[in-house]
Amino acid sequence: MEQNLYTQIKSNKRKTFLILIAFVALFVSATWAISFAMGYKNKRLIENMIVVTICCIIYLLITCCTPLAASLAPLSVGAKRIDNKDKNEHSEKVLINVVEELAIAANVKCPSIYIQDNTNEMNAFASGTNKNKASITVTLPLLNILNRDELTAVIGHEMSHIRNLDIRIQTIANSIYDILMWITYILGEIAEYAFLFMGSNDDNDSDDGNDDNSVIAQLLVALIGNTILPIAAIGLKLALSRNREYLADAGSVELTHNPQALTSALLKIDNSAKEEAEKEDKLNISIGMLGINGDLKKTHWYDEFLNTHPSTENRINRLQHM
Amino acid sequence: MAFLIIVIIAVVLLITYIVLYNGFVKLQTQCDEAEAQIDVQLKRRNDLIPNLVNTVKGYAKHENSTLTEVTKLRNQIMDTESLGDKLKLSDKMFEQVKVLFNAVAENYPDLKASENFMGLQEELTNTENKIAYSRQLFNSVVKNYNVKVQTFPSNIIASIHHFTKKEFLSIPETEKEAPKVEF
Repeated sequence: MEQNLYTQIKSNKRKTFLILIAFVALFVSATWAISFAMGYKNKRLIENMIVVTICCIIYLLITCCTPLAASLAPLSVGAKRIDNKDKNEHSEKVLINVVEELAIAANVKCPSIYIQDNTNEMNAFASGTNKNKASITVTLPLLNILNRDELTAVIGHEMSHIRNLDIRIQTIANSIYDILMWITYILGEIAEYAFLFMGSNDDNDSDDGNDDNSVIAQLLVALIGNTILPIAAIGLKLALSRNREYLADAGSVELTHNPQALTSALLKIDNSAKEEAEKEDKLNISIGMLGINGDLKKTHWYDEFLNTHPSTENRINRLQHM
Repeated sequence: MAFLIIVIIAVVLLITYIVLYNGFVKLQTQCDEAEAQIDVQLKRRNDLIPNLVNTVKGYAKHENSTLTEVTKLRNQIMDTESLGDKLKLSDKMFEQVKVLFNAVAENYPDLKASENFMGLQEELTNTENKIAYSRQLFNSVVKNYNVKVQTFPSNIIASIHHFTKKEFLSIPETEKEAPKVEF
């Protein structure tokens, strides 16, 4: 089937679903690993897994259901809010108009708008878990360098994040990642203490679960889990982030029907970021995963898997097939 | 036992029915809201006209006919009821305004840099975009509604409660011959 905007959106959504399934599978394996490594057997193993799962769900509910104000992220980087006033600069007026236009197209209430003027980086990000109470922040260099069409494309990308509830999905993914890291830590502790148990039990009473052989098995599970779990967890978290970025690009085109504008905006942002990196010779880390540009350094083959954003080359490639 | 199964099936069917019907009401309301949104943007565009005309009047003293045409169309729009007709008239009027505006800009290039002019130019772009996006949104919600009206099993509910397919808004063709403005 020929690639177009709608097939891409569909395949992106399918990939998100697969990644979430993988997260769940990873989580179940992790609860098994921790329960097994702690010495639970048979029926008690399953009971323990359920208890761990319930505790994690409670943790998830607490962290994900407390609403965070959309103004937290922009205010934390020193951005200032702009409102529609007569004394606005021309560029501010344009920004407000563009955001209002795209809010109509995306069928959401107009987000609050912030400008960040304390950086030389071109960047934009969205915040807010409620799609009608969101915020969009734009850095001053981005506002000054992009033309109106390119600005529209970038805001369209951020508006898609808001409309697709990506901020909420990322929050949940982060919480699951935290839980998996916690389990990793516990497995590490178990591995340490397992050494103490080994050799101190002489009876081979299998009800107890503390005979030497099973302790070795527990130790192995703890060690392997401690190594693999963090790699898998971060891999999945980054894969989800990149996947949602592709979807936001497609969403921007769905709203604006102008893939060329987004392409040229991405190129401008990329070039400016490379220039800045050369000047400062340090990593430019954008706030969270919703910035339009991710980490920047010299590119390596593994960068595609360690970045929150897909490479600009890949994004432009996909845009050209819309 | 068999009685219990029948009851469960009946309950499931009833819930499905209610969910589908409510879905239709929601989509219908979305379409109505999108239509009202277009109306809001059209009014906004209409209200913009006097300011634009005043700004341009000073520089286009010889173009009274176009200015009169614009004012006439604007008054006509205020008396029109149907959204489709309003849209057509509004687009026609706006084409004239744009031509006028561009002609003034060409003949007085210094004006292009003035902040007032840039601000008005931005207003023109902004208003036009908002109407375009409102149309786009309307077509998008109508698409969702039409899909639901025609697919199974919601088409059953649709025919029972007389939810019928809606028309898309077509983008009007620009005038074949743009009106000329002479200075």
